[in-house]
Amino acid sequence: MKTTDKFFIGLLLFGAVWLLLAPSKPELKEIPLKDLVQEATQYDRYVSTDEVAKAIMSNDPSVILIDVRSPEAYKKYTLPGAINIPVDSILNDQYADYVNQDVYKTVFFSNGSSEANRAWSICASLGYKNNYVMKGGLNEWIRTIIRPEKPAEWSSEGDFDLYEFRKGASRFFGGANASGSAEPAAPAPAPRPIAHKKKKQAAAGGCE
Amino acid sequence: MGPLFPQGLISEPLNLLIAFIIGIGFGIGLEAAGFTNTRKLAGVFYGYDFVVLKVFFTAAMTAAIGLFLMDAYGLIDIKLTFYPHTYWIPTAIAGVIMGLGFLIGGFCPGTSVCAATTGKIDAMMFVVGVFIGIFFYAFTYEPLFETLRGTGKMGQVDIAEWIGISDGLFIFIVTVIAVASFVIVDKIQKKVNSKGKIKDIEELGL
Amino acid sequence: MSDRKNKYMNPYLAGFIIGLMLIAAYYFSGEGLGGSGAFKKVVIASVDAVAHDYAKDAAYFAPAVNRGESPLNSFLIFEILGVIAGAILSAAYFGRLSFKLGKGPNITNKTRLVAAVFGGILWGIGSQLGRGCTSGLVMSGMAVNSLSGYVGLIAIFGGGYLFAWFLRKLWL
Repeated sequence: MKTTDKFFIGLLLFGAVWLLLAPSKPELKEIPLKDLVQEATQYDRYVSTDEVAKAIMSNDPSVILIDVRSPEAYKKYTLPGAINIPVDSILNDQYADYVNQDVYKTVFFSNGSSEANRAWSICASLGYKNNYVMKGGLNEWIRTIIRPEKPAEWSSEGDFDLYEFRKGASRFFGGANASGSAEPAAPAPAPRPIAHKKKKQAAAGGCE
Repeated sequence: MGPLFPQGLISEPLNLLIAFIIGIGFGIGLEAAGFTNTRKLAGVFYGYDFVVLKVFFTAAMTAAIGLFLMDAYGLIDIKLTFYPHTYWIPTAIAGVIMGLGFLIGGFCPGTSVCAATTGKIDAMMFVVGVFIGIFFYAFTYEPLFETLRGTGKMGQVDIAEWIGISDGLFIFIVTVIAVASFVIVDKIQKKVNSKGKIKDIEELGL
Repeated sequence: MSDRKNKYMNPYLAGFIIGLMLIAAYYFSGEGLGGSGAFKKVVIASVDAVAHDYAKDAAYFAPAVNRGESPLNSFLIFEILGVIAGAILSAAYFGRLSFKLGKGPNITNKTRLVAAVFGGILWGIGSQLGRGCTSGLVMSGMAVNSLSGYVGLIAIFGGGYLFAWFLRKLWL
């Protein structure tokens, strides 16, 4: 074996030993977003505002909405029926029945998505199942449900159906399209669980 | 902190320029190691030339050690890269197809590009074959491959986490296996070549 | 000049250089090094140019075509352009820049060329089904401890050794 060979092989071994002795990463980075136990890719994490609206309107008993913002923000505005668990206290024992269970679907939401994502990641890293994030948070909620926009004329039929649903939902939640009382009696049809769509993922990076 | 482009820390034109420069280094490494010589590549399956195994394992382990060291010291967050999704069934089937393709065609796509552009006529035919293969796949995707491609889905799986050991320990074990194999294949290569049956051995630079 | 004619670089040094490039690819762009990815993008771009109406609805082409950006404007394409430049530089330095046909010593040129096309076809199909080739799937996968990289490693080299004995006439 030549000297050059020995040098590079030695370098590899040195690096491997160094890596073995290197400090483990700080806690925050070790939250595995792709936790095997969860068997979830990030595409299974989100539910849309429309799905949440449907669940509220149908009084779906299998869905629990959790507002992960601060108590002050929660008092000012939240979704009907939501309970408040600030993200920093998500692991408190008193809330364990909500976040670590296999009966209900819990949906986290915040103003945008980031705090809810944090709550979700913490739970996922501990192997808790049945947790979801409302995509886009309350901002998206206002944009799509409370003040839905009429789709452009050339939009597909599906878009118009969605718009009709949102207009109805907007009236239900007392939004901009409300014509009359903002507090309709909650109807109670058969419970319907949230169907979380598996989106086809676009080819991203790599050699695919 | 890396990766820079996915976090919007460098612009797209700069990213493409860097891609080009990285490609130059990759191309020099492949050509200079002899990967445009199809006999050197096939040697790994017949024991007369193990350059593929040496270059391949050195490259993979250098990168793994470097990346996880950078990850440990906070210079890069590996979880933010386009981390590969594992679909073990199509990957295993496709791997066997590619293994067969390696023995029949004598290249893999990356090496064939180097070989074809430096004048190897067999590599040019190989490149033509790759295009035919991708066209075939693309136009028969829905009836033949779409279902199979999505089977065995496991998400973005880290093999060390999957086994249940730390990344560092896993890489250390693979590095030790690689180094042991370097020593063993040198012995095999000497033995095979001492029988003196390899024609035109000077072409292989052994 | 003559002392470097048709010499090869130390394999561990070559591997080390490729490894550094792989680190750089992940650090700057978050991507691995690819071989077959560029082929795929060329196929997609050419089909899109000739038959856009077909491509925008076909399951294989649609995700890339409907993104509104040319598939050629990507990391993998520029990386492969660099690979070509690097290979030519290196081949010129080592005096290997000439038309030549590489093959096993006991087969005809025609056999070799037909086999090369068939091997290429298998790689074309395999790299698409398996989400990458030796570079993008296995080497880049191993660099980040991805399970898929190791599945690919075992399958490609295991498959190779499985068929090696039957195909020995091509190479020995």
